[in-house]
Amino acid sequence: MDAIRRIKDEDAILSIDFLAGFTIFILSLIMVISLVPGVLAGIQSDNIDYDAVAYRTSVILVEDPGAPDNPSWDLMGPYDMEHKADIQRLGLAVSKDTPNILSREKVDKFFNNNLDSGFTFDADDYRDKVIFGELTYLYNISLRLDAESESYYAEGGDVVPTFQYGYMRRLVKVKEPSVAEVKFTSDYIGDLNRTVTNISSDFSVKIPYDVLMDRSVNPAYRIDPQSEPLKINLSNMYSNLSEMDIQSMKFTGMKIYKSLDDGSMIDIPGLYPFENDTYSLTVDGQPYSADGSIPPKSVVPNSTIEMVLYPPLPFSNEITSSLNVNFSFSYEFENSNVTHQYLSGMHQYDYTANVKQPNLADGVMEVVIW
Amino acid sequence: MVMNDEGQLYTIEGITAGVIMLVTAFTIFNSGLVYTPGDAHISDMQIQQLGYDALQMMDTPADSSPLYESPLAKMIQGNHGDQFKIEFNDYLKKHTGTTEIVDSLEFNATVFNRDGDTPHSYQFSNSTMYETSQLTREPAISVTRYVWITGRPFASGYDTGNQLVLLEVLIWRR
Repeated sequence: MDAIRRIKDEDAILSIDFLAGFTIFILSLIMVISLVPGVLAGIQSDNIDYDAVAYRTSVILVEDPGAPDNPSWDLMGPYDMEHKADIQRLGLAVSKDTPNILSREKVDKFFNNNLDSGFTFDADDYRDKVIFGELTYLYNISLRLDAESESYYAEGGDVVPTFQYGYMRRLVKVKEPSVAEVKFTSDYIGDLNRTVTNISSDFSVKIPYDVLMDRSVNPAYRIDPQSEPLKINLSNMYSNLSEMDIQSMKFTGMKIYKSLDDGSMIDIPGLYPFENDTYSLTVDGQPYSADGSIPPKSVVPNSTIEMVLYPPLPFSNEITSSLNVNFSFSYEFENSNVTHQYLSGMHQYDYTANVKQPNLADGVMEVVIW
Repeated sequence: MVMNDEGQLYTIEGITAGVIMLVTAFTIFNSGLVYTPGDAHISDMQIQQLGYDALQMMDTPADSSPLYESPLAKMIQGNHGDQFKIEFNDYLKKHTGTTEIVDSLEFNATVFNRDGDTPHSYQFSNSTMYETSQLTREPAISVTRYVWITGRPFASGYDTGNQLVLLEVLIWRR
Protein backbone atom coordinates (compact mmCIF):
# COMPACT_ATOMS: atom_id res chain seq x y z
CA MET A 1 0.00 0.00 0.00
CA ASP A 2 1.13 3.56 -0.49
CA ALA A 3 2.73 5.65 2.26
CA ILE A 4 -0.14 8.13 2.77
CA ARG A 5 -2.53 5.52 3.93
CA ARG A 6 -0.12 4.16 6.41
CA ILE A 7 0.32 7.56 8.09
CA LYS A 8 -2.75 8.22 10.16
CA ASP A 9 -1.71 11.51 11.82
CA GLU A 10 -0.69 14.18 9.33
CA ASP A 11 0.20 16.99 11.79
CA ALA A 12 3.56 18.74 11.16
CA ILE A 13 3.87 17.43 7.64
CA LEU A 14 4.94 19.99 5.01
CA SER A 15 2.66 20.11 2.07
CA ILE A 16 3.84 20.79 -1.46
CA ASP A 17 1.93 24.12 -1.40
CA PHE A 18 3.92 25.40 1.53
CA LEU A 19 7.19 24.31 -0.09
CA ALA A 20 6.32 26.19 -3.25
CA GLY A 21 5.37 29.37 -1.37
CA PHE A 22 8.40 29.25 0.86
CA THR A 23 10.75 28.69 -2.09
CA ILE A 24 9.34 31.70 -3.92
CA PHE A 25 9.75 33.81 -0.80
CA ILE A 26 13.34 32.71 -0.20
CA LEU A 27 14.27 33.31 -3.83
CA SER A 28 12.75 36.80 -3.72
CA LEU A 29 14.45 37.56 -0.42
CA ILE A 30 17.80 36.58 -1.88
CA MET A 31 17.15 38.91 -4.80
CA VAL A 32 16.19 41.77 -2.49
CA ILE A 33 19.24 41.27 -0.29
CA SER A 34 21.48 41.25 -3.33
CA LEU A 35 19.89 44.59 -4.26
CA VAL A 36 20.52 46.12 -0.84
CA PRO A 37 23.86 47.79 -1.66
CA GLY A 38 22.15 49.48 -4.60
CA VAL A 39 19.20 50.44 -2.42
CA LEU A 40 21.56 52.02 0.11
CA ALA A 41 23.36 53.94 -2.62
CA GLY A 42 20.01 55.42 -3.52
CA ILE A 43 19.54 56.54 0.05
CA GLN A 44 22.51 58.93 -0.14
CA SER A 45 21.28 62.33 -1.16
CA ASP A 46 21.82 63.35 -4.78
CA ASN A 47 23.63 66.47 -3.63
CA ILE A 48 26.73 64.55 -2.66
CA ASP A 49 27.08 63.08 -6.07
CA TYR A 50 26.66 66.38 -7.90
CA ASP A 51 29.03 68.26 -5.64
CA ALA A 52 31.66 65.61 -6.20
CA VAL A 53 31.21 65.85 -9.96
CA ALA A 54 31.37 69.64 -9.81
CA TYR A 55 34.56 69.45 -7.75
CA ARG A 56 36.16 66.96 -10.12
CA THR A 57 35.19 69.09 -13.13
CA SER A 58 36.63 72.22 -11.54
CA VAL A 59 39.90 70.43 -10.75
CA ILE A 60 40.24 69.24 -14.34
CA LEU A 61 39.52 72.71 -15.67
CA VAL A 62 41.69 74.70 -13.28
CA GLU A 63 44.59 72.45 -12.28
CA ASP A 64 45.13 70.25 -15.33
CA PRO A 65 46.73 71.32 -18.63
CA GLY A 66 44.52 68.78 -20.42
CA ALA A 67 45.50 65.93 -22.69
CA PRO A 68 47.22 65.82 -25.07
CA ASP A 69 49.57 68.36 -23.51
CA ASN A 70 52.62 68.36 -25.74
CA PRO A 71 51.74 69.65 -28.25
CA SER A 72 48.83 71.14 -26.42
CA TRP A 73 45.24 70.39 -27.46
CA ASP A 74 44.46 74.06 -28.00
CA LEU A 75 46.77 74.21 -31.02
CA MET A 76 44.20 72.33 -33.09
CA GLY A 77 42.96 74.50 -35.92
CA PRO A 78 39.78 74.45 -37.97
CA TYR A 79 41.31 71.76 -40.18
CA ASP A 80 41.61 69.47 -37.16
CA MET A 81 37.87 69.20 -36.42
CA GLU A 82 37.96 65.55 -37.46
CA HIS A 83 40.67 64.92 -34.86
CA LYS A 84 38.61 66.40 -32.05
CA ALA A 85 38.14 62.90 -30.65
CA ASP A 86 41.88 62.81 -29.92
CA ILE A 87 41.36 65.33 -27.15
CA GLN A 88 40.98 63.36 -23.94
CA ARG A 89 40.67 66.11 -21.32
CA LEU A 90 39.95 69.81 -21.71
CA GLY A 91 42.15 71.18 -18.93
CA LEU A 92 42.83 74.92 -19.09
CA ALA A 93 45.94 75.29 -16.89
CA VAL A 94 49.12 76.62 -18.48
CA SER A 95 51.07 73.59 -17.23
CA LYS A 96 50.75 70.91 -14.60
CA ASP A 97 53.10 72.91 -12.35
CA THR A 98 50.90 76.00 -12.36
CA PRO A 99 47.47 75.22 -10.87
CA ASN A 100 44.90 78.04 -11.14
CA ILE A 101 46.93 79.82 -13.85
CA LEU A 102 44.93 79.41 -17.05
CA SER A 103 46.14 79.78 -20.61
CA ARG A 104 44.38 82.50 -22.62
CA GLU A 105 44.52 80.33 -25.74
CA LYS A 106 42.87 77.41 -23.98
CA VAL A 107 40.21 79.63 -22.40
CA ASP A 108 39.30 81.09 -25.79
CA LYS A 109 39.12 77.65 -27.39
CA PHE A 110 37.14 76.13 -24.53
CA PHE A 111 34.49 78.88 -24.44
CA ASN A 112 34.31 79.08 -28.25
CA ASN A 113 35.36 82.74 -28.08
CA ASN A 114 36.67 82.74 -31.65
CA LEU A 115 33.66 81.39 -33.46
CA ASP A 116 35.15 82.28 -36.84
CA SER A 117 38.09 79.99 -36.10
CA GLY A 118 35.80 77.10 -37.05
CA PHE A 119 36.97 74.90 -34.19
CA THR A 120 34.18 74.59 -31.64
CA PHE A 121 33.05 72.44 -28.75
CA ASP A 122 29.47 71.37 -28.06
CA ALA A 123 27.61 69.89 -25.08
CA ASP A 124 28.68 66.32 -25.90
CA ASP A 125 32.33 67.36 -25.98
CA TYR A 126 32.06 68.99 -22.56
CA ARG A 127 30.36 65.89 -21.12
CA ASP A 128 32.96 63.53 -22.63
CA LYS A 129 36.09 65.53 -21.95
CA VAL A 130 35.52 67.56 -18.78
CA ILE A 131 32.53 66.35 -16.77
CA PHE A 132 32.85 62.61 -17.42
CA GLY A 133 30.58 60.11 -15.66
CA GLU A 134 28.04 57.81 -17.24
CA LEU A 135 25.02 60.00 -16.51
CA THR A 136 24.05 62.83 -18.85
CA TYR A 137 24.67 65.72 -16.49
CA LEU A 138 23.37 69.20 -17.14
CA TYR A 139 25.94 71.90 -16.53
CA ASN A 140 26.71 75.58 -16.41
CA ILE A 141 30.39 76.49 -16.57
CA SER A 142 31.26 80.17 -16.46
CA LEU A 143 34.37 82.30 -16.20
CA ARG A 144 34.56 85.99 -15.41
CA LEU A 145 37.66 88.13 -15.61
CA ASP A 146 37.87 91.25 -13.47
CA ALA A 147 38.91 93.33 -16.45
CA GLU A 148 35.93 92.28 -18.57
CA SER A 149 32.27 93.08 -18.02
CA GLU A 150 30.86 89.93 -19.60
CA SER A 151 31.25 86.38 -18.33
CA TYR A 152 32.16 83.51 -20.64
CA TYR A 153 29.77 80.57 -20.70
CA ALA A 154 30.41 77.07 -21.98
CA GLU A 155 28.24 76.27 -25.00
CA GLY A 156 25.10 74.23 -24.32
CA GLY A 157 24.89 75.09 -20.62
CA ASP A 158 21.49 75.47 -18.99
CA VAL A 159 20.04 77.99 -16.55
CA VAL A 160 20.97 76.93 -13.02
CA PRO A 161 18.03 75.47 -11.07
CA THR A 162 17.14 76.93 -7.69
CA PHE A 163 18.21 73.88 -5.68
CA GLN A 164 19.66 70.38 -5.94
CA TYR A 165 22.83 71.06 -7.84
CA GLY A 166 26.54 70.51 -7.33
CA TYR A 167 28.60 73.65 -7.09
CA MET A 168 32.23 74.71 -7.07
CA ARG A 169 33.79 78.18 -7.26
CA ARG A 170 37.48 78.50 -8.13
CA LEU A 171 39.66 81.60 -8.20
CA VAL A 172 41.99 81.74 -11.19
CA LYS A 173 44.39 83.95 -13.08
CA VAL A 174 44.42 84.00 -16.86
CA LYS A 175 47.82 84.38 -18.47
CA GLU A 176 47.48 87.03 -21.18
CA PRO A 177 50.06 86.88 -23.98
CA SER A 178 53.04 89.20 -24.20
CA VAL A 179 53.25 92.23 -26.50
CA ALA A 180 56.31 93.97 -27.91
CA GLU A 181 55.26 97.61 -28.01
CA VAL A 182 58.20 99.07 -29.83
CA LYS A 183 59.16 102.55 -28.73
CA PHE A 184 61.23 104.21 -31.38
CA THR A 185 64.06 105.64 -29.36
CA SER A 186 67.19 107.09 -30.86
CA ASP A 187 68.65 103.55 -30.93
CA TYR A 188 66.36 102.70 -33.81
CA ILE A 189 67.23 105.70 -36.00
CA GLY A 190 69.57 105.58 -38.97
CA ASP A 191 71.24 108.64 -40.47
CA LEU A 192 71.30 109.32 -44.19
CA ASN A 193 73.64 111.64 -46.01
CA ARG A 194 71.99 114.98 -46.81
CA THR A 195 72.65 114.60 -50.54
CA VAL A 196 70.57 111.40 -50.82
CA THR A 197 66.81 111.94 -50.95
CA ASN A 198 65.34 108.45 -50.84
CA ILE A 199 66.01 105.12 -49.20
CA SER A 200 64.38 101.77 -48.53
CA SER A 201 65.18 100.23 -45.20
CA ASP A 202 64.07 97.44 -42.86
CA PHE A 203 63.27 97.60 -39.19
CA SER A 204 63.37 94.12 -37.69
CA VAL A 205 62.13 92.38 -34.60
CA LYS A 206 64.15 89.36 -33.54
CA ILE A 207 62.49 86.44 -31.78
CA PRO A 208 65.21 84.26 -30.24
CA TYR A 209 63.62 80.94 -29.30
CA ASP A 210 66.51 79.87 -27.08
CA VAL A 211 66.09 82.98 -24.93
CA LEU A 212 62.30 82.68 -24.72
CA MET A 213 62.09 78.95 -24.00
CA ASP A 214 64.22 79.21 -20.90
CA ARG A 215 63.32 76.35 -18.57
CA SER A 216 64.34 78.38 -15.54
CA VAL A 217 61.47 80.78 -16.14
CA ASN A 218 58.28 79.67 -14.37
CA PRO A 219 55.71 78.52 -16.98
CA ALA A 220 53.26 81.06 -15.53
CA TYR A 221 55.49 83.90 -16.78
CA ARG A 222 57.23 82.22 -19.72
CA ILE A 223 56.80 83.62 -23.23
CA ASP A 224 56.09 80.40 -25.08
CA PRO A 225 56.22 80.69 -28.88
CA GLN A 226 54.93 77.12 -29.17
CA SER A 227 51.64 77.76 -27.47
CA GLU A 228 51.04 81.52 -27.26
CA PRO A 229 50.66 84.27 -29.81
CA LEU A 230 53.38 86.91 -29.93
CA LYS A 231 52.30 90.46 -30.72
CA ILE A 232 54.33 93.26 -32.21
CA ASN A 233 52.98 96.80 -32.15
CA LEU A 234 54.72 99.59 -34.00
CA SER A 235 53.43 103.06 -33.22
CA ASN A 236 54.71 106.60 -32.76
CA MET A 237 57.13 105.86 -35.54
CA TYR A 238 57.91 109.55 -36.04
CA SER A 239 58.72 110.18 -32.40
CA ASN A 240 62.47 110.40 -32.89
CA LEU A 241 62.65 111.22 -36.60
CA SER A 242 63.22 114.79 -37.69
CA GLU A 243 59.94 114.75 -39.54
CA MET A 244 60.33 118.21 -41.05
CA ASP A 245 62.13 116.92 -44.11
CA ILE A 246 60.21 113.68 -44.69
CA GLN A 247 58.09 114.04 -47.79
CA SER A 248 56.69 110.57 -47.58
CA MET A 249 57.19 107.44 -45.53
CA LYS A 250 55.61 104.25 -46.77
CA PHE A 251 55.21 100.76 -45.36
CA THR A 252 56.10 98.51 -48.27
CA GLY A 253 55.85 95.03 -46.81
CA MET A 254 56.86 92.47 -44.24
CA LYS A 255 58.96 89.36 -44.47
CA ILE A 256 59.82 86.62 -42.02
CA TYR A 257 63.33 85.16 -41.93
CA LYS A 258 64.71 82.17 -40.11
CA SER A 259 68.28 82.25 -38.91
CA LEU A 260 70.49 79.32 -39.89
CA ASP A 261 73.23 77.79 -37.79
CA ASP A 262 75.92 79.67 -39.73
CA GLY A 263 74.27 82.98 -38.89
CA SER A 264 72.75 83.59 -42.32
CA MET A 265 69.06 84.26 -42.84
CA ILE A 266 66.61 82.61 -45.18
CA ASP A 267 63.28 83.99 -46.22
CA ILE A 268 60.28 81.83 -45.25
CA PRO A 269 58.21 81.67 -48.43
CA GLY A 270 54.50 81.26 -48.90
CA LEU A 271 53.23 83.29 -45.95
CA TYR A 272 51.91 86.19 -47.90
CA PRO A 273 48.16 86.79 -47.50
CA PHE A 274 47.55 89.13 -44.58
CA GLU A 275 45.73 86.58 -42.43
CA ASN A 276 46.75 82.95 -42.28
CA ASP A 277 47.73 80.24 -39.80
CA THR A 278 51.02 81.94 -39.15
CA TYR A 279 50.22 85.61 -38.64
CA SER A 280 47.85 88.50 -39.15
CA LEU A 281 49.04 91.94 -40.11
CA THR A 282 47.08 95.19 -39.91
CA VAL A 283 48.03 98.76 -40.67
CA ASP A 284 45.86 101.37 -38.93
CA GLY A 285 43.38 98.61 -38.17
CA GLN A 286 43.06 97.59 -41.81
CA PRO A 287 44.24 94.13 -42.93
CA TYR A 288 47.41 94.45 -44.95
CA SER A 289 48.75 91.83 -47.30
CA ALA A 290 52.50 91.46 -47.21
CA ASP A 291 52.80 89.97 -50.69
CA GLY A 292 52.92 93.28 -52.53
CA SER A 293 49.41 92.91 -53.95
CA ILE A 294 48.36 96.02 -52.03
CA PRO A 295 50.15 99.27 -52.84
CA PRO A 296 52.50 100.57 -50.14
CA LYS A 297 50.72 102.29 -47.32
CA SER A 298 51.57 105.79 -46.15
CA VAL A 299 52.85 106.04 -42.61
CA VAL A 300 51.83 109.19 -40.77
CA PRO A 301 52.76 110.21 -37.21
CA ASN A 302 49.81 108.41 -35.61
CA SER A 303 49.94 105.28 -37.76
CA THR A 304 50.12 101.89 -36.09
CA ILE A 305 51.27 98.58 -37.50
CA GLU A 306 50.09 95.54 -35.56
CA MET A 307 51.25 92.02 -36.11
CA VAL A 308 50.17 88.86 -34.34
CA LEU A 309 52.18 85.68 -34.80
CA TYR A 310 50.04 82.64 -34.05
CA PRO A 311 51.29 79.59 -32.20
CA PRO A 312 53.13 77.48 -32.90
CA LEU A 313 55.49 80.01 -34.43
CA PRO A 314 57.42 78.80 -37.50
CA PHE A 315 60.31 76.53 -36.49
CA SER A 316 59.67 77.14 -32.78
CA ASN A 317 60.29 73.42 -32.23
CA GLU A 318 63.93 74.07 -33.12
CA ILE A 319 64.88 75.50 -29.80
CA THR A 320 68.19 77.03 -30.85
CA SER A 321 66.75 78.77 -33.86
CA SER A 322 65.36 82.29 -34.12
CA LEU A 323 63.03 84.29 -36.28
CA ASN A 324 63.39 87.78 -37.69
CA VAL A 325 60.35 89.79 -38.70
CA ASN A 326 61.40 92.54 -41.06
CA PHE A 327 59.17 95.55 -41.67
CA SER A 328 60.19 97.38 -44.86
CA PHE A 329 59.76 101.10 -45.26
CA SER A 330 60.63 103.49 -48.10
CA TYR A 331 61.31 107.16 -47.51
CA GLU A 332 61.52 110.25 -49.65
CA PHE A 333 63.14 113.34 -48.23
CA GLU A 334 63.17 117.00 -49.19
CA ASN A 335 66.41 118.11 -50.68
CA SER A 336 67.22 120.11 -47.58
CA ASN A 337 70.53 120.78 -46.04
CA VAL A 338 70.17 118.47 -43.05
CA THR A 339 71.01 114.85 -42.32
CA HIS A 340 67.97 112.70 -43.00
CA GLN A 341 66.73 110.12 -40.51
CA TYR A 342 64.95 106.80 -40.99
CA LEU A 343 63.97 103.77 -38.92
CA SER A 344 66.51 101.03 -38.69
CA GLY A 345 67.95 98.52 -36.28
CA MET A 346 66.65 95.50 -34.44
CA HIS A 347 64.33 95.07 -31.48
CA GLN A 348 64.72 91.85 -29.50
CA TYR A 349 61.68 89.96 -28.20
CA ASP A 350 62.84 88.79 -24.79
CA TYR A 351 62.36 89.06 -21.01
CA THR A 352 63.60 92.63 -20.74
CA ALA A 353 61.69 95.90 -20.74
CA ASN A 354 61.62 95.55 -24.55
CA VAL A 355 58.48 93.49 -24.20
CA LYS A 356 55.35 93.84 -22.11
CA GLN A 357 55.53 90.52 -20.24
CA PRO A 358 52.63 88.06 -19.94
CA ASN A 359 50.07 89.49 -17.56
CA LEU A 360 48.15 87.37 -15.03
CA ALA A 361 44.57 88.65 -14.97
CA ASP A 362 42.38 87.81 -11.98
CA GLY A 363 39.18 85.92 -12.57
CA VAL A 364 36.73 83.45 -11.10
CA MET A 365 35.23 80.26 -12.46
CA GLU A 366 31.94 78.70 -11.37
CA VAL A 367 31.07 75.10 -12.17
CA VAL A 368 27.48 74.00 -11.60
CA ILE A 369 26.38 70.41 -12.32
CA TRP A 370 22.96 68.84 -11.89
CA MET B 1 -7.01 12.97 0.64
CA VAL B 2 -5.71 15.34 3.26
CA MET B 3 -7.82 14.72 6.27
CA ASN B 4 -6.35 17.30 8.63
CA ASP B 5 -5.38 20.79 7.34
CA GLU B 6 -3.81 22.12 10.52
CA GLY B 7 -0.37 23.71 10.12
CA GLN B 8 -0.52 23.86 6.34
CA LEU B 9 -0.10 26.77 3.97
CA TYR B 10 -1.56 26.73 0.52
CA THR B 11 0.15 28.25 -2.53
CA ILE B 12 -1.85 31.44 -2.62
CA GLU B 13 -1.36 32.14 1.06
CA GLY B 14 2.36 31.40 0.74
CA ILE B 15 2.80 33.85 -2.12
CA THR B 16 0.71 36.49 -0.36
CA ALA B 17 2.72 36.14 2.81
CA GLY B 18 5.95 36.34 0.78
CA VAL B 19 4.85 39.49 -1.00
CA ILE B 20 3.78 41.13 2.24
CA MET B 21 7.11 40.34 3.86
CA LEU B 22 9.03 41.59 0.82
CA VAL B 23 7.08 44.84 0.68
CA THR B 24 7.74 45.32 4.39
CA ALA B 25 11.45 44.66 3.99
CA PHE B 26 11.70 46.98 0.98
CA THR B 27 9.77 49.74 2.73
CA ILE B 28 12.02 49.54 5.76
CA PHE B 29 15.18 49.70 3.68
CA ASN B 30 13.88 52.48 1.47
CA SER B 31 12.47 54.77 4.12
CA GLY B 32 14.54 57.21 6.09
CA LEU B 33 17.53 59.24 4.86
CA VAL B 34 20.90 58.01 6.01
CA TYR B 35 23.28 60.90 6.41
CA THR B 36 26.81 59.88 5.61
CA PRO B 37 29.69 61.87 7.05
CA GLY B 38 30.40 63.13 3.52
CA ASP B 39 27.23 65.19 3.58
CA ALA B 40 28.42 67.55 6.26
CA HIS B 41 31.80 68.13 4.67
CA ILE B 42 30.76 69.20 1.20
CA SER B 43 30.02 72.82 2.06
CA ASP B 44 33.16 72.90 4.22
CA MET B 45 35.16 71.69 1.26
CA GLN B 46 33.80 74.46 -0.95
CA ILE B 47 34.81 77.17 1.51
CA GLN B 48 38.15 75.50 2.14
CA GLN B 49 38.98 75.32 -1.56
CA LEU B 50 37.94 78.94 -1.99
CA GLY B 51 40.20 79.95 0.89
CA TYR B 52 43.17 78.01 -0.46
CA ASP B 53 42.60 79.48 -3.92
CA ALA B 54 42.41 83.01 -2.49
CA LEU B 55 45.67 82.64 -0.56
CA GLN B 56 47.35 81.13 -3.61
CA MET B 57 46.18 83.99 -5.84
CA MET B 58 47.43 86.54 -3.32
CA ASP B 59 50.75 84.70 -3.08
CA THR B 60 51.32 84.80 -6.86
CA PRO B 61 53.64 87.65 -7.91
CA ALA B 62 52.52 89.75 -10.88
CA ASP B 63 55.73 89.01 -12.78
CA SER B 64 58.46 86.40 -12.60
CA SER B 65 59.87 87.83 -9.37
CA PRO B 66 60.52 85.46 -6.46
CA LEU B 67 57.64 84.52 -4.14
CA TYR B 68 58.65 87.07 -1.50
CA GLU B 69 57.53 89.75 -3.96
CA SER B 70 53.94 88.45 -3.95
CA PRO B 71 51.21 90.76 -2.63
CA LEU B 72 50.62 88.42 0.32
CA ALA B 73 54.30 88.31 1.30
CA LYS B 74 54.51 92.08 1.11
CA MET B 75 51.42 92.47 3.28
CA ILE B 76 52.90 90.29 6.01
CA GLN B 77 56.29 91.93 5.60
CA GLY B 78 54.75 95.37 6.01
CA ASN B 79 52.20 94.16 8.59
CA HIS B 80 49.39 95.52 6.40
CA GLY B 81 46.47 93.56 7.84
CA ASP B 82 44.06 96.20 6.56
CA GLN B 83 45.11 95.54 2.96
CA PHE B 84 44.78 91.81 3.52
CA LYS B 85 41.25 92.33 4.81
CA ILE B 86 40.18 94.21 1.68
CA GLU B 87 41.80 91.86 -0.82
CA PHE B 88 40.87 88.60 0.87
CA ASN B 89 37.28 89.79 1.15
CA ASP B 90 37.26 90.69 -2.54
CA TYR B 91 38.45 87.21 -3.47
CA LEU B 92 35.85 85.51 -1.27
CA LYS B 93 33.07 87.54 -2.88
CA LYS B 94 34.10 87.05 -6.49
CA HIS B 95 31.52 85.38 -8.74
CA THR B 96 30.53 85.13 -12.39
CA GLY B 97 26.87 86.04 -11.96
CA THR B 98 25.60 82.53 -12.68
CA THR B 99 24.49 81.87 -9.14
CA GLU B 100 23.64 84.13 -6.25
CA ILE B 101 26.46 84.40 -3.73
CA VAL B 102 25.52 84.70 -0.09
CA ASP B 103 28.11 87.17 1.12
CA SER B 104 28.31 86.08 4.73
CA LEU B 105 31.83 84.74 5.15
CA GLU B 106 33.87 86.05 8.07
CA PHE B 107 37.51 85.35 8.73
CA ASN B 108 40.31 85.75 11.21
CA ALA B 109 43.95 85.52 10.09
CA THR B 110 46.84 84.58 12.35
CA VAL B 111 50.55 84.51 11.57
CA PHE B 112 52.77 81.90 13.23
CA ASN B 113 56.48 82.62 13.25
CA ARG B 114 59.59 81.87 15.27
CA ASP B 115 61.53 84.10 17.58
CA GLY B 116 64.72 82.18 18.16
CA ASP B 117 63.55 78.91 19.68
CA THR B 118 60.16 80.25 20.70
CA PRO B 119 57.12 79.85 18.47
CA HIS B 120 55.17 83.04 18.34
CA SER B 121 51.86 84.09 16.86
CA TYR B 122 49.83 87.23 16.44
CA GLN B 123 46.52 88.26 14.93
CA PHE B 124 47.28 89.59 11.47
CA SER B 125 43.88 90.54 10.10
CA ASN B 126 40.17 89.93 10.50
CA SER B 127 36.86 90.67 8.81
CA THR B 128 34.65 93.53 9.97
CA MET B 129 32.04 91.52 11.84
CA TYR B 130 34.30 88.78 13.09
CA GLU B 131 33.72 89.52 16.77
CA THR B 132 29.93 89.83 16.73
CA SER B 133 29.57 86.74 14.57
CA GLN B 134 31.63 84.55 16.91
CA LEU B 135 28.60 83.53 18.98
CA THR B 136 26.32 82.40 16.20
CA ARG B 137 28.87 81.12 13.80
CA GLU B 138 28.97 77.75 12.14
CA PRO B 139 32.12 75.68 12.70
CA ALA B 140 35.11 77.43 11.20
CA ILE B 141 37.28 76.03 8.41
CA SER B 142 41.02 76.48 8.61
CA VAL B 143 43.17 77.23 5.56
CA THR B 144 46.90 77.68 5.82
CA ARG B 145 49.81 78.72 3.65
CA TYR B 146 53.53 79.08 4.19
CA VAL B 147 54.64 82.54 3.12
CA TRP B 148 58.21 83.51 2.33
CA ILE B 149 59.28 86.84 3.77
CA THR B 150 62.72 88.40 3.68
CA GLY B 151 62.92 90.05 7.08
CA ARG B 152 61.14 90.91 10.28
CA PRO B 153 57.90 92.89 9.90
CA PHE B 154 58.47 94.45 13.32
CA ALA B 155 61.27 94.31 15.81
CA SER B 156 60.03 92.21 18.72
CA GLY B 157 59.01 88.58 18.56
CA TYR B 158 60.52 87.87 15.17
CA ASP B 159 63.63 86.26 13.73
CA THR B 160 65.74 88.35 11.41
CA GLY B 161 66.46 87.40 7.81
CA ASN B 162 64.76 85.16 5.28
CA GLN B 163 62.06 82.95 6.71
CA LEU B 164 58.83 81.10 6.15
CA VAL B 165 55.90 82.03 8.32
CA LEU B 166 52.64 80.12 8.55
CA LEU B 167 49.52 82.08 7.80
CA GLU B 168 46.35 80.47 9.12
CA VAL B 169 42.98 81.88 8.15
CA LEU B 170 39.84 80.67 9.89
CA ILE B 171 36.75 81.15 7.72
CA TRP B 172 33.16 80.70 8.81
CA ARG B 173 29.61 81.67 7.88
CA ARG B 174 28.03 84.12 10.25
